[in-house]
Amino acid sequence: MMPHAEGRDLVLSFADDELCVGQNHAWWIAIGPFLEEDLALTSIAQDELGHARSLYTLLSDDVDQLAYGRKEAEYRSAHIAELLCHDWSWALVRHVLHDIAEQIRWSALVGSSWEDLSHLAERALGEEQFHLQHGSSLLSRLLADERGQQRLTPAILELAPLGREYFVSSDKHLIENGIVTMPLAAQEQLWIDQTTGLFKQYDINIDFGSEAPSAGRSGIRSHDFAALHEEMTAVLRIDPQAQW
Amino acid sequence: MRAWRDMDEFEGFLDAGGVVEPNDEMPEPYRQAVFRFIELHANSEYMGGLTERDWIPKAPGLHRKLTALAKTQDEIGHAHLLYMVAADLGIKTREEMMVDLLEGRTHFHNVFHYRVHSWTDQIAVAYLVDAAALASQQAVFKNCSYGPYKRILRRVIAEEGFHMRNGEEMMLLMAHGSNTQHEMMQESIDRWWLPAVQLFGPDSRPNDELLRWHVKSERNEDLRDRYVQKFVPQLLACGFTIPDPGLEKDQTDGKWKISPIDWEPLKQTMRNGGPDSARRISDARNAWNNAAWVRDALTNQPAST
Repeated sequence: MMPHAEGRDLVLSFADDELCVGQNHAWWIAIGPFLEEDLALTSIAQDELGHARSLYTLLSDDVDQLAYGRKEAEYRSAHIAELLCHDWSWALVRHVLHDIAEQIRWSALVGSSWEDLSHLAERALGEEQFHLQHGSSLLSRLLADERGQQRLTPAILELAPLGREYFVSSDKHLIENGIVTMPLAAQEQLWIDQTTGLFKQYDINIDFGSEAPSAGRSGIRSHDFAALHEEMTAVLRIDPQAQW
Repeated sequence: MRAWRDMDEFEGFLDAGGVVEPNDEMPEPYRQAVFRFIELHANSEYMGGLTERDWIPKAPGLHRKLTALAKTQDEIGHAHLLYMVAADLGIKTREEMMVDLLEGRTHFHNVFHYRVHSWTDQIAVAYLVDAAALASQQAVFKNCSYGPYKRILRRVIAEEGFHMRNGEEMMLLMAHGSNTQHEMMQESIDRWWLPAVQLFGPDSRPNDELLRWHVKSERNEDLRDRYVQKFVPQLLACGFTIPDPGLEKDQTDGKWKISPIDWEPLKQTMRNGGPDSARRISDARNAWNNAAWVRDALTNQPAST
């Protein structure tokens, strides 16, 4: 089927989120808190980059051109996905917020009328279960520790409101056409409820505001994106025509 | 649990193909030697991961990024397994080994004291360095008398084989790619050839105990020579030159002969005085120290159910 433009926008936004988060998780290889954690986060990075690749494949035959060849304003990633998070507590919090969102987003695509997307969602959901288990069990254990909570709380308070942007997309026709099975506003509310529930048990109360505070979906990039993009395209730019 | 009356009886057991297990009452010099060898291997895998990580974020394209990430993850996985096998020998804990490494008290292989300057350096590491490491590991695996190490090497070797083939594929792409790519690859070969050849170390001592105790099965100079015979023709066939003015083919036996190696710089490098040793170790030490709160928080409480 040839999906409506809204469907393509949704997939592109999702793919860009996964591309950025996968790239950011991968930064932690060999410098995590201990070797088991290096291995876990790197596995998750590979899954996220794999999701990005599968999603781009739904839109184009030239995946690398789409992933790395656009101008900054043509990316649709949420700002929370772009942030470098070179402090491990921030990386962990983003990992959990991202994966709670991912589970909701993929679930809403299972049974999509865009069959390839539905199949992809089913496969991705199997992986998400492990990502979420890893992230939230680690986060919970660290939040149960006083010093852990001191480290993590600022990251939670700052990053969580940005997570709303995961659900920013026009969905009027998406519902009508059966591309998604749950309206984005409902997905967003589910994400807020789950996130609130997770942190409330540690007396961390998040002010989510009334709407997403960032505008990555409209083509405005976060302050970290330029560095991220520079890095991910560093070798490709040496000789853009060559096969690497 | 087994025990031996004396070193003669133990060496007789090893010569007959005996395999030692962690609970055996192995002679202390053997335990120490095996431990030091595995610790050096573990440190090298970990430092190898750190060497490669600079270029993972820059890997060209999604496919390359995924394979580069998977490869480095393998190296970290090897380090993880090896540290556990080393810890089982009861000489140092994993934490003690990590701290010794980061404080510069223990060592890692020469090749990981250099910086990866470009994507083609990354390829050279996968192609030239991993091949050298693989050859050394295969020689240990063949006849290794310490059971847990031998079993882990089976997996390590299988994965290193993939890395080398992946490196070869990328090297061939550069060899037949654009002029820029070919030139970049040549520069990387110029940088990495000697370190890769040096990975095998100086000629084995006549009384090398690691050989006598069947940890190693081949002499360093034999492994090095076999590597040279394989890689010189491959690189020349791809249109690359080898950065060794004394390199020549012996007309009598048809074998490639390299220039004599000055081992002094290598010894200096191995004492953590290599070109990138200080940065490499301080990066790892900073990361380790910055995350101390995570390790503390996790050990200060019972595991969650």
